[in-house]
Amino acid sequence: MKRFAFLLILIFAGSFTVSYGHRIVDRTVETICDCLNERQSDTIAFGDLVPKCAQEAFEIHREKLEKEFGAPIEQGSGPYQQMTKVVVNALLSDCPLFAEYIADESDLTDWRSECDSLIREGKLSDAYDLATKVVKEDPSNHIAYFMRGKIYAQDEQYYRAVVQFLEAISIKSDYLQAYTEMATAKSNVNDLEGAYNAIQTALEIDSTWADAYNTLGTLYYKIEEYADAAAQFRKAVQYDNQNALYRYNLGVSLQDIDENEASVKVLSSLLTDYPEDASVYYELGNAWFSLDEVPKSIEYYEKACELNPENPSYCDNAGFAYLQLEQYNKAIQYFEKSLELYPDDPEVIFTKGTAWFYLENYEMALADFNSAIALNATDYPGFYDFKGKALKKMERFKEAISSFTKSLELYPDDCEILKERMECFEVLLDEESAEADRQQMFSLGCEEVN
Amino acid sequence: MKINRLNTPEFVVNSAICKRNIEKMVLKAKASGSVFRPHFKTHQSGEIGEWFRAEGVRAITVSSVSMAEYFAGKGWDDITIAIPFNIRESENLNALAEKISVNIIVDDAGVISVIDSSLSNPVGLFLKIDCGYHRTGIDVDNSFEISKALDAAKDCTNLEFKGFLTHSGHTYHAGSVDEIRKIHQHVVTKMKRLKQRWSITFPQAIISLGDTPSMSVVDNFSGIDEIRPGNFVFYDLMQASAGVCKYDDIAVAVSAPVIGKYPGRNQIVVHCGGVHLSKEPLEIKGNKVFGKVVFLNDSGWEIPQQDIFVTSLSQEHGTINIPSDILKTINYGDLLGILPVHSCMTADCYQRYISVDGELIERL
Repeated sequence: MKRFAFLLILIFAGSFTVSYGHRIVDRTVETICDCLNERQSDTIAFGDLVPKCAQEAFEIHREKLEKEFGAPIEQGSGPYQQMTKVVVNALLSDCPLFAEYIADESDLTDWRSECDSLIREGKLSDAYDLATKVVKEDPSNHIAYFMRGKIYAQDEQYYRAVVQFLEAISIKSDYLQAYTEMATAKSNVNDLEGAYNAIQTALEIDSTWADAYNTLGTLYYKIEEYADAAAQFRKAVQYDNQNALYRYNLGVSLQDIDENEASVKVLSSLLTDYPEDASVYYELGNAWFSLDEVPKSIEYYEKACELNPENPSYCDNAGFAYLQLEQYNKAIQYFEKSLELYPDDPEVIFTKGTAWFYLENYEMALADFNSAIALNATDYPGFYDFKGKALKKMERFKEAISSFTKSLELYPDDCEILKERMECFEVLLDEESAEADRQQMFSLGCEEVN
Repeated sequence: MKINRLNTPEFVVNSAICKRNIEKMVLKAKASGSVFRPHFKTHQSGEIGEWFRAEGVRAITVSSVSMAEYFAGKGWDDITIAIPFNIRESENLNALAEKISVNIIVDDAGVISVIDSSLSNPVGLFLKIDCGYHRTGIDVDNSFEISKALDAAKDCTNLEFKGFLTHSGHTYHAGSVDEIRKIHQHVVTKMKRLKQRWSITFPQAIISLGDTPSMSVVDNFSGIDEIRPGNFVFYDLMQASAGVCKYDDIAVAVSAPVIGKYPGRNQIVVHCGGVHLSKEPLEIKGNKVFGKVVFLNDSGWEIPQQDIFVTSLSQEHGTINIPSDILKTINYGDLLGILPVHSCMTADCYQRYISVDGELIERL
């Protein structure tokens, strides 16, 4: 929720003791306060108005503020935090509307931050008890219902979550976060129409609500409408370009519409603020891979695998990319790394087998093919094909024929496998069977026969 | 008294399962923003009705005027009688409408004015629409008849048009959950179009749908104003075998004392026949069955791993095919439980129910 970063820093800035005396700060505070006074009766919730006004004021006075606090001021940086504290102090003393709001919010934030912590720690039952206690003390507390909704959603009890978000909205009809969270919960029970309607309502209240566009993007993504998804994520970024999640979603969705260069650009920009995020490296790896820049993709996959070796895809993809470059030993190294954690993945075992096959280590290849088949032969009939090839290389022709036959039961028109089997029959001097395969290839129009 | 002390066939209700089934449906309806107007014809019990009330349900559906009168007596004041109205009962309807808010359904333009003229109190009117079940209702695509009925509704003094109501009874005969979903999708699309078509003349009109299979298997009721499932409160073998619910969701069983044991043909006979289970059969793997055996215990019943079915019924006897190893463990006088094929029909065989704790549950 980077959108709230400014507000949250305002609220949680802690000690507001930094003294100020800068004219530019006075002017910024005046701009924010005027904005709050002028727009407090807008349909937008006050809590959402504060960061908006702050952002607008920052843009107006950016140049001078940067001169004052050190240029450029980037979110999360030291100068940014220093500026925030100074501005907050000024707002608290010079903007009564803001001071009043913060006082109210502070009352809420104690229990809410505790509730958030409990959710993060997975103590959902305790979090629920806390929110329920607040509901009992104050049945009109919309945030308490909202938090209960979040707890239910976290527990994948989406119907209950929706009911709580609806309660929150019935108390506070312009509660934007409740609409977007409700939309997400609804989409989880496949109520896409309901989810869409919730987002539309949020956007009617505030057409610049970035989170709504992001949620809409995820909805489109879910139904595999990638172009629409990317368009919505783009809008989310347009309205809140500091939000890492929106930028990440945009970067990923761009890959699905083959805009990989743009994806690289968006995702790379995240690395400045999130240099340790494995998922960003992984997605960058995917984008470079799609751009046929395999060595570059390997760089990113390796980094992703190093940062988070527990996600098997990160290490697998490094292995697949090395396989593409015919660097089989490296590929095997990464597949083994992945298999250390998830030893029963038939696809990875099989692919490792192919790497051994290309290294002409047919014993190792065969062992892997057999393991993969033992784990799951039904979903991956291609396993038999490679097993047959390995057996053929090992001159175990009868077994190879048996494996090719299994493969052909599923792909009877596969010329390559037919040819492999025919060659095995020829070696075994089984002319009749070889001729049958030859005829079959002829009738299929396979190149070698024609 | 615990259920294993019962001496005769009784309709045993597991309230914990019932309440769980109710809560699930209530939540799904709330989350979709649909009014939940459950059909009470399955249980027909004031006490079970209270379990619904505890979950916030305020409006109900019944299938006869007398059932409406019974539930009105239990404090329900918003009732839809979801069977084409029997004009011979106009007097009773009028009396009921004086006390509570009541809706009826019709599927004929001509009958509307007849009913209207027989009333002196306001009654809500739903037009019954046939979306493929072909039992009652005007065909959803028959714009001419629908239009005629709506014209008649516009001219009424006491009948107030509420909307379009349908029952997708054909989902009960669907071969799979996917087929149920398809039927439901088709019905929802048709009903939404119908509502939209008449939205200028009747902007307040709602669409009301209700059948347990659809309401159980779809994830949400988006776009449906009102839902009226009924059987879900108990569920039964028919629903479980269609994949609509699990055996664990079946909330009722009939107690069946063992009165015959025939190891030579691997059969036992229980005192639990057609008058106790109803004779509605279900085909499972090509065989007709009339119930599934469960083992009663203090907290309800245990479902055996192996399927054991009642395979034939006469008036008082139920014949059960049973594996020899299990047959050996069963004695004369033992009490088995039978999960019914169609709980609505089975429940209707009883004047009262028994809870798993042995308490009486009153019913109509």
